Amino acid sequence: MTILKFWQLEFKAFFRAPQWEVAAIAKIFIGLMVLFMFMYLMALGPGIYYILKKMFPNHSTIDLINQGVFFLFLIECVARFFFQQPPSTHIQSWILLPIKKRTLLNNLLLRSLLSPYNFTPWLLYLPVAVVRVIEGTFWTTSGTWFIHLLCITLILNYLILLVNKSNRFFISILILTVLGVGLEFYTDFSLTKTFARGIEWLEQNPISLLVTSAILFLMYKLAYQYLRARFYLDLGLAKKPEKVRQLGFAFLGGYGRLGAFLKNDLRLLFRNTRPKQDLLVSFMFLFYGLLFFSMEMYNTNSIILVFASVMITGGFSFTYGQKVPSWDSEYYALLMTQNLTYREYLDSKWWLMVVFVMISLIVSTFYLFFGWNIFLYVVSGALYNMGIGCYINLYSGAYYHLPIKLNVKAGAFANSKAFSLTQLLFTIPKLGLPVLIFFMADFFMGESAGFLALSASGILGMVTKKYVLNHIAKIYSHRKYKTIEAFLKN
Amino acid sequence: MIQIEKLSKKYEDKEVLNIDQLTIQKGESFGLVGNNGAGKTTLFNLILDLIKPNEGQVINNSITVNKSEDWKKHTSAFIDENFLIGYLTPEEYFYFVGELRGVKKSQVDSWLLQFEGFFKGEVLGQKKYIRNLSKGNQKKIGLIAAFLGHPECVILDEPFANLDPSSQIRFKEIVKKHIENTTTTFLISSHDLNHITEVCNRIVLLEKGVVLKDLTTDSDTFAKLESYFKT
Repeated sequence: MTILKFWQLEFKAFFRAPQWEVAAIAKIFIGLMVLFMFMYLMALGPGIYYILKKMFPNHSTIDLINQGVFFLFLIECVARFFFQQPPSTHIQSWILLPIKKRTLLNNLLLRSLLSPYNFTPWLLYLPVAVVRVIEGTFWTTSGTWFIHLLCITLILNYLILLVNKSNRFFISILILTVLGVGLEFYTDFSLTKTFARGIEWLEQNPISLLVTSAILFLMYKLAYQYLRARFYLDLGLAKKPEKVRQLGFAFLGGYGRLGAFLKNDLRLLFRNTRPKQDLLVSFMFLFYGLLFFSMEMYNTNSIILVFASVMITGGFSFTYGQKVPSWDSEYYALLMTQNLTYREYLDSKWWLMVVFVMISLIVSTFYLFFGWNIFLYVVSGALYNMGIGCYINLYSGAYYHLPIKLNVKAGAFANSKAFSLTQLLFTIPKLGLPVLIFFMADFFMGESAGFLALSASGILGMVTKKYVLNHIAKIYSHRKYKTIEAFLKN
Repeated sequence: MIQIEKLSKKYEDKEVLNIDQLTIQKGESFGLVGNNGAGKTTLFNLILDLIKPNEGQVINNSITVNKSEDWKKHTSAFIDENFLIGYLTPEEYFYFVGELRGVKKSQVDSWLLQFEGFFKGEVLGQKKYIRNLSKGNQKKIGLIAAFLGHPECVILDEPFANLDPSSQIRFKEIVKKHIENTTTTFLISSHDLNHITEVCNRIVLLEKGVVLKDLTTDSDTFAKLESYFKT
């Protein structure tokens, strides 16, 4: 059993995953998307380099870049802390085979290098290093710079494994950040500048590479020993015990069947890893407006404003709604044999989304800061989301068949796995329809008419809910067997 | 109660189930035996309208199962762990299923009391999610939930597998008591010939998707089945 054999299996696991069972055209499309993203990231570094050089001709460009790198590392720490998977997940099937533990563990630790976080040096820093050489920096200096950053990234990779979700680590990072910000503002000392100067010193003294790589090696050894000591079913390989979270939705008990469903959906959202990730994403959507409302280039363009407003309150309905039957994929067979109709099922999902649109609307009152006019965009966008946006998301959900493992974190490309031409086509009405409705009214009768049209379309949608949901329910029941079959594959 | 007419299920070109005519009477306890791949779960999935037949139909209480959903009101089932909701506590799960079958929370609580012996204090009041319970305890939850709300027809796939011996015996008692005291129709599949002949008054033997034997249980049934499986 060699390392090579492991990688062969790794390869098979990757290409035999259910998400690859999509049409060839979709595979090509995903490939192109990934390639495009890589190219974009690779162009980012040099782009920033030249922009900085132009904007601050009197300042050392690499010093500015190094200061930025400091923030990247901070973000990386937080992202890794929350989202990086511990590598020990599918080791169990190997333990009893005649393979040395050493081989298993080394393989495990090497495999963890494949995490997308470890690609950042290659995609972001390497192009910058190349540009520096082109711009006249001696290649050994630039090379030393790159290898240092690479080493630090990999050190973080193993460090996160060692701290293993300890809250103390997270709090230290938090304190460090607060302290850094404090020092930056109130004293002459600057953490970022010190860091940048430190990196510069390191690249001036290539001998320091020995120290950095020694630290990396030490981290690897520590991680190895850490895993080695916990290589038992009841230690490192055991699942962590969970505490039951009572969420106080008992009041929903008074609302009959609808209440029972809503209660269940709320439990689903707050007790499972995957939906929690999506909740975080939909929370970010709330701040979409800051990007557009504050820039003069955008905040006079009504089409962009409609687009942004719909996003602000629609975040949850977008991320949650389009995966509607999949959230229940783990126990779909149960629901299909219980005394409930698709109509009821969809109704409860709709209510859930509406509640979240309303909560988002309440939170987004801070957009009043940008004036009443902007807030009117947000309100009419919210009404549109409740009355029409939610339906389109539920509609597209009928064609979303990827089972979701609720308590497993989404991988880096988890959402691209669900890619299909149908889902792509659905984004056209999802983003285009509100803009179109607004634009038509706005074009003929002015902005106020636009608000009215958008709000009216939403209200009309809510009034005709019964009819619309019945129609969507028909599609769901038409696709019932296909959905069950896909969900049982997990 | 359940009528099966010219039912056929194919995967690609391979026919995995073909039953021309089978009627299960109300109040009957119907046992299904057969080796792996005989089509037991396929038959249950067809009765529950979880898969689509290539031909034929299943009629449950004069309702064609793939035409109307009304059969769900009087039918319940536990096939496998896909019938459990992992992120709920056992209590929450029972309340949820109860709500769907029109049983109130307080009624569920008092109804659950009779199963305390079966649960052995390892299921209720544990403050654990179902996904963190052992396989055996998970199974107990699914099995008992299938009895909630007095369904007229209960379908159980391999109810004895994964249960420890004393739980198997206890569960057998629960089913037998139900058969004696109610008119519930039971459809049970099992690999355990002992248990199934003890519980069911009719046993159907499937082989490669076809009904090979249809026996009314008597003192010879066990021997007959055993002689089939020996060869």
